[in-house]
Amino acid sequence: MPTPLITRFAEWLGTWRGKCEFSDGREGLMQFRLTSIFNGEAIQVETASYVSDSGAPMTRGSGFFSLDRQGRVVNNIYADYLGFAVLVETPDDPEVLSLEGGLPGNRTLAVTMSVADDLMTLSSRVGEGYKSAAGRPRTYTQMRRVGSFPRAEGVAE
Amino acid sequence: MSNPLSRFAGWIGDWAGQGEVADGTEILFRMQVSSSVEGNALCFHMESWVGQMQLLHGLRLILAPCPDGTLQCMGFSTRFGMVNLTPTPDDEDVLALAGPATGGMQISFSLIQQEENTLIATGMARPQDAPPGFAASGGTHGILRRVAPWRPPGS
Repeated sequence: MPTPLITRFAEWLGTWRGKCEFSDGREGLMQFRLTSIFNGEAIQVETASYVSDSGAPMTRGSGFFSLDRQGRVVNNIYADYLGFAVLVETPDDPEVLSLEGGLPGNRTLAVTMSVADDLMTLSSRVGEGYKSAAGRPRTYTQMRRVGSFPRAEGVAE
Repeated sequence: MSNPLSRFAGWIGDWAGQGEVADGTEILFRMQVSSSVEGNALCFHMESWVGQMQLLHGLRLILAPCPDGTLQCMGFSTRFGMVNLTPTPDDEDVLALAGPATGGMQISFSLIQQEENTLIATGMARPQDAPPGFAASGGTHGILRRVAPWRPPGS
């Protein structure tokens, strides 16, 4: 029996890669790898970005998705350029995962993710103060799945 | 590997051992320490088992430097949910972490290097709103020794 987390995000598991436009104007390649851990009780998210033409590393990160008692996604993250943050799901369309939380230095991070037709779309913004900054530049990427669709832990074949 | 993590780099590898929880139940421990986030972090994957390898507690932590250079730790616990831990001052051969979990508990966890290939692991949890003097229960204590994963003979 899959966990509620895996029931919702089974199609997101795997490795995704695509071009990325960063909020500071740079362009690069983004990779996300989502892996079920502890029989689907959490999903580990590993991120990396690279300079397009040289393959040199740009950013690195790691995090975890799980559900809180209200069924909302909680996302613990570490990114080498941002530090640590806890993001909590905010209301959005059912197929969209929107997360928001505080960063060190009175900044906020808002992330929106979705998967449709084997295409993962991710947009994120760093704002200042307690409100997300809708008008600020965003980091935006659309990633295609790399390799075969993985069978999640806890999902019957 | 980033400098703040270098004192723990010698712990990279596989560890296993035995321990017990507060009610005296004996457990088996397994811990895998690995370089993560392409050398910017350490990942601690821990599992404790009872009986026929039934998972009692699973914990995966990422220990990494903030942009200001201080170490922080975050992760997921199968018992307590998301955890966000801060290293507390201690000896050079000790990793002591404490902080809140989303499940409402305050977690403390430590790894103490006893000998080159021996670590003592302790964990404790108490409610975040516990009054002063509250006696925490549910503590875990174990001794871990470095192990090598099995490989086919001759490999």
